[in-house]
Amino acid sequence: MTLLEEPIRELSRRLRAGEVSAVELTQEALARADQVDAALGAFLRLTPALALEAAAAADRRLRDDSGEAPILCGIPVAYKDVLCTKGVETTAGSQILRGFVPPYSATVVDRLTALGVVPLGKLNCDEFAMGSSNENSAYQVTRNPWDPERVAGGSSGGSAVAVAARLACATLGSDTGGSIRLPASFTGVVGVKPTYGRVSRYGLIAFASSLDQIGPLAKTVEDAALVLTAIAGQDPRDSTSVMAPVEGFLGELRKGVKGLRLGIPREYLEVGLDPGVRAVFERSVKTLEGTGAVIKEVSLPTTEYALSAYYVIAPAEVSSNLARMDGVRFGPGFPEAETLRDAYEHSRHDGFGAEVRRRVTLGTYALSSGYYDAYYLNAQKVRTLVAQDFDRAFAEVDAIISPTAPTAAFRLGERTADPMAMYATDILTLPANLAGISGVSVPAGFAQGLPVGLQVLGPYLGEATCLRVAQSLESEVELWNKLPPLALAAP
Amino acid sequence: MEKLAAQLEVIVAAVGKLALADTSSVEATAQVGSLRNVTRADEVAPGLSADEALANASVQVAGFLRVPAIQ
Repeated sequence: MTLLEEPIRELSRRLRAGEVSAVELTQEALARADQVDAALGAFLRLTPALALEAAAAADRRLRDDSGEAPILCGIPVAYKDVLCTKGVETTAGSQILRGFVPPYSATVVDRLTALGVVPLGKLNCDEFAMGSSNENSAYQVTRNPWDPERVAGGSSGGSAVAVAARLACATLGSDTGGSIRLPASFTGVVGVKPTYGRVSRYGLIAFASSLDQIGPLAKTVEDAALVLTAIAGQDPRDSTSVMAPVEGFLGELRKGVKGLRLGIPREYLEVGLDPGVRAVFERSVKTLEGTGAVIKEVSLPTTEYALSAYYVIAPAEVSSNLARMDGVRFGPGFPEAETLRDAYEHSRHDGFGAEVRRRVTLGTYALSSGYYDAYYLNAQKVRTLVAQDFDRAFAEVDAIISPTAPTAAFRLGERTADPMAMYATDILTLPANLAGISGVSVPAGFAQGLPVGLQVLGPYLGEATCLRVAQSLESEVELWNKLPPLALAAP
Repeated sequence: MEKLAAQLEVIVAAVGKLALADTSSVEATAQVGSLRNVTRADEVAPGLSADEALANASVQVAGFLRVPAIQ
C-alpha cells in the first residue's frame, strides 16, 4: 500500500506526528509516477526539483509550527496544464504553446503554494481543454487506469487519472462543459465544478470565458472540499470572481441528507443511458432515499437544446480567446516567415490540432454577420431558458441528481471520427456550465467493471449542498478506497 | 480541409436545432451570476517587467517584439 492511498486528513496527521516526512512522501509520489505513469500518460512533465524543495520547506514548517501549519502543508498535488505555473512550462496540451514558460502563476496555484502543498508537475489535457476523452492532447493520450484501452475522459483526464492511480493526493482541473466531472466519473474519483465565479481564474488559459471554472479532483469528497476551501474566494485579479463567504464546504459535509429534497430531471433519463449506468443510478437513488432524502421528479425541458447552445457559445468564445495565439508573444512562432500574414498562418496551422481548428472555424462562422442572430444570439437566448429551468427546479428541490455521463469510459478511438458523438458525451454536464451553477461527480458504482459517477447539481453558490449529498453517497457505497488494476502494479 | 468542411456541415446542421426552440419571450444571457460593474481599487502595484513580458517572444530585439512586415 502506498501512502498516497490515505485521505488528506490522515496523511496530514501522519506528517504532523512525524511518522513520515513530506520529503519521503514526495519521493514516494515521484517514484510512483516514474513507474506507473508510463502506462497511463497522466503527467506531461514532472517537476521533481520544485517538489522536493517545497517538501523540505513543508517539513520545516511542520516541525517548527505543527500546530499552525495548514492541513494541506506537505500534501502532493498536481495541476492541469492549462494553469500557469511560474517558471514551469505550460502548454495547455497544444503545440502552439510548446516552450511557453509563464512569468506568473495562477491565483489557485499561488494559494495552494502559500499553504505549503508539494507541486509534482503538470497534467495532460485535451488541447486548450477542448475534448471529452483526452485524445485531443498534442502530446500524448492519457489512458484509463481501470482499462488502458479506454479513455480517461476529458478534458481534465490527466488530473483525474493522477488521483485515480494514486499518483497525487489531489489535482486541479478546469470544467467548461463537464471537463472535471466527466473524467472524474470515468476514473472513479470525486470532481467538483464550482459555481461560476467561486474560484479565481487568473492564470487559467482561457477556453470559453463565460463557462470556464477551476475545481479540484480528489479521492474523497472531504479531500475535494479541503482543496476547494483553499482555492475558493474573491480575487482582485479576476473581476468575475464572486465576493461570497467560503464556508460550509467542510462543516456541513457530514450532516447527512435526511429531509433533503433531491430532484431527478426526467429529461436526463431520456438521453440514451447505457443500461449499466442506469442501474448504478437507480441504486444510488435508493441508497440516498434509504438515508432519508426525499426524491422528486423535476423537469428541465430545455435540455434537448442545451447541447446545441453550448456548441455555438463555446466555439464562439474560442474563436475570440484563441486569437491571441499568434506565435508572436509566446509559443514557437514562425520567425522565418516573410510577411506577418505568413507568420500567423504558419503558427496557427502548425500549432493547432484538428479539434481546435474545428471550434475556431465553427465559432467564427457562428459570429459572422448574417449568421449571428440565428446561431449565437439564439444560443444565448436558449441559455437563458436553461438557467430558468434550473431556477424553477431549485424552487422545488435542494439538489438535482443524475448520472454524470450517459455511458462509462468508452474505447480509445471510438468517437474521434465523429465530433457530434464526442460532443454528446457532455450532454448531462454542460447545462450546469450554461447556467453557471455548482456540481459534483462522486463515484457511485461500476458498470462492466468501469466506474460510474453520480452527478449532484446545486444552485448558484450551492457547493455545500452538493458536497453533502456526495458525502452521503460516498459513506454508503464506500468505493473511494477501491484501486484500479493499473495503480496496484507499483510500490 | 475537405474532412473539416464535411464535419462542420454536420455540426452546423445539428446545432441548427436551435431554430426550433421558442425563444420569443426571453432575453439573451449576457452573463451568468450576480456581478455588476466590478472595479478594483485604483492602486499602483508592481507588474511584470519588460524582460519578463518579452521572455516568451519568438523574436525580440532591444525590448521590442519583432514580427515580419505587413504586406
